[in-house]
Amino acid sequence: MDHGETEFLLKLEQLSIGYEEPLISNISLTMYPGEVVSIIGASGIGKTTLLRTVAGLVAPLEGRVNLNVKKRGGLGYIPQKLGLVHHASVSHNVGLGARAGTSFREGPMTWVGRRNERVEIAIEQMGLTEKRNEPVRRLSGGQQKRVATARTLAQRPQILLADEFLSELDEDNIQIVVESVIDYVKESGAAMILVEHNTERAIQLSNRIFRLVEGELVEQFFQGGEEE
Amino acid sequence: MHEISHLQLQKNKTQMMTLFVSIGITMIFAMVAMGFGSSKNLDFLTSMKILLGIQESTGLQSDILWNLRFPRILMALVGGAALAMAGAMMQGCLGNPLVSPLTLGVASGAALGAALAIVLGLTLVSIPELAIVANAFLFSLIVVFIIIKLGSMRSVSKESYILIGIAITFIAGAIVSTLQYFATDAQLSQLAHWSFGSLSRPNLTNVLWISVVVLTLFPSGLKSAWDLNALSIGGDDFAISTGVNPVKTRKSILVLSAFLTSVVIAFTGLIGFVGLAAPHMSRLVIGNDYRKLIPCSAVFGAFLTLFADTLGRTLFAPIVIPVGVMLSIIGGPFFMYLLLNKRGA
Repeated sequence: MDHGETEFLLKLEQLSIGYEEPLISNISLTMYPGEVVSIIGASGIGKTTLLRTVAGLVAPLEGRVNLNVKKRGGLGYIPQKLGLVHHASVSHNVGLGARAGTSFREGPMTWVGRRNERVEIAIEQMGLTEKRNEPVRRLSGGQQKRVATARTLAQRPQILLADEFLSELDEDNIQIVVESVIDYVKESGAAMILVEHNTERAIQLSNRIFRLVEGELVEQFFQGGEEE
Repeated sequence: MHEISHLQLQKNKTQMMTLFVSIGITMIFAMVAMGFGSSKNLDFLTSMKILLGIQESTGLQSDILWNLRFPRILMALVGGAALAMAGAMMQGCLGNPLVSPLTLGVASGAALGAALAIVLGLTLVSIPELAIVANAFLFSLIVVFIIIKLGSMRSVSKESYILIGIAITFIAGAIVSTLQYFATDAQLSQLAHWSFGSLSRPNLTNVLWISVVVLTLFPSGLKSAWDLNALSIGGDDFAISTGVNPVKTRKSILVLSAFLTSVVIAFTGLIGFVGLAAPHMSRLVIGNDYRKLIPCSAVFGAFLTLFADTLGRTLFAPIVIPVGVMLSIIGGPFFMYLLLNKRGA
């Protein structure tokens, strides 16, 4: 794809990640608005660490992570362990994301209104309207995933990192979640990195796919669902 | 579900009431404290009458009230509030209950600055009366800056800040000890006096300036309350999943609380205990929500400092016990009582 003058959202330069020993070395990746990148590979080889490094939770061993996003709420992360407040309601949890993503500076008087609007839209997109006042602990695993996704959508991030966010969902749920998230990415010009163990789904969702093999990130090319 | 939210609302109401009542009590106590003092020309009743406008004051009386007692009391309120608020923010963003505003090298930086000024005459600002203050302030900020730079170099975890803070504290402490070793007796006593922490040092103009700075920074502290909630509920991973960048947030909160702390202790010397205890006392009373915890800590800190200082200057009058010492003596047991009582309940 030729991006011409378009500004990148995310640029990984010669990145080497891990804790003591490098798990993955020499990662270079530039992402532009509207792109979805999937990362596939066996478990335990550093996929989550890669997302955590991009998010700034782990310092890179070498190289740089350049993020070209707004300072507050520009980066959205749906972790595998969802990190929901279990005793609080669905709308409260979604509100946390909306709060981080709604800037006070865009108009202090309408701040609360804009925030609530985002919460309502995200809850509706995820089909949680009837559950909005239920405490999260009473929801099923699949519903909780949708709450976490709604929280990140309400944040309206420019970069979206999702760690196996479709696992534990049944087919109907997957359809709801995938459509809203991909629509969001395309419409708002965000970029998304997706860690996914299901290759078929990765092909269906993303523009580019990388496989982690022996400590390196290798781009894969598929045609009609078959590996070339 | 409805019952739960009803209970929650009731609890919120009680907590807000507690906060407002504490503010009221502190204000009334501040006025009462204006009446305490060792002057023979101004007893308690007279000063109350003057404050309430019932009686005219003589020149000497108004001098004692407005140039001696008022700055001291205002300094206790503002300084206590600033230190307690900084303590609450530091405990929240480093996720460690043992952290106080002085943990992160602020105190050792200030002591180093003061020691350099007193012993070597090495000052960064050439105004004689402000030399020690300016040195203490600037050096504490320099030390915090170094800690934040080093702490985020190798890893981004909160532990690295605490550990590097401790290391730097030891290094700065060693330099201060070396300076003390070579200091004259006069310099030594000046340095010891500085480190006691006293509210009588800043004059009215100083105190008004400190108040302006603290009041200006207060809204930023309140604004960081939500980010602190996110950080303290579930750590870094939780914070980032709600869109709060833990690394950036932690740095900016550290800078803010270090600034609040050094503005105060540069003028007063080391006052440690209030920044550790007031946030914990508030936690016991008002819970862990930083939107309420930050203002509540500020109020408790103000009250505690004022109470300790008033006791310190009246108990053995005309001898004045430094507020730092007094705070630890009366605050320590009270703090333990609160903690043990809570555990039993």
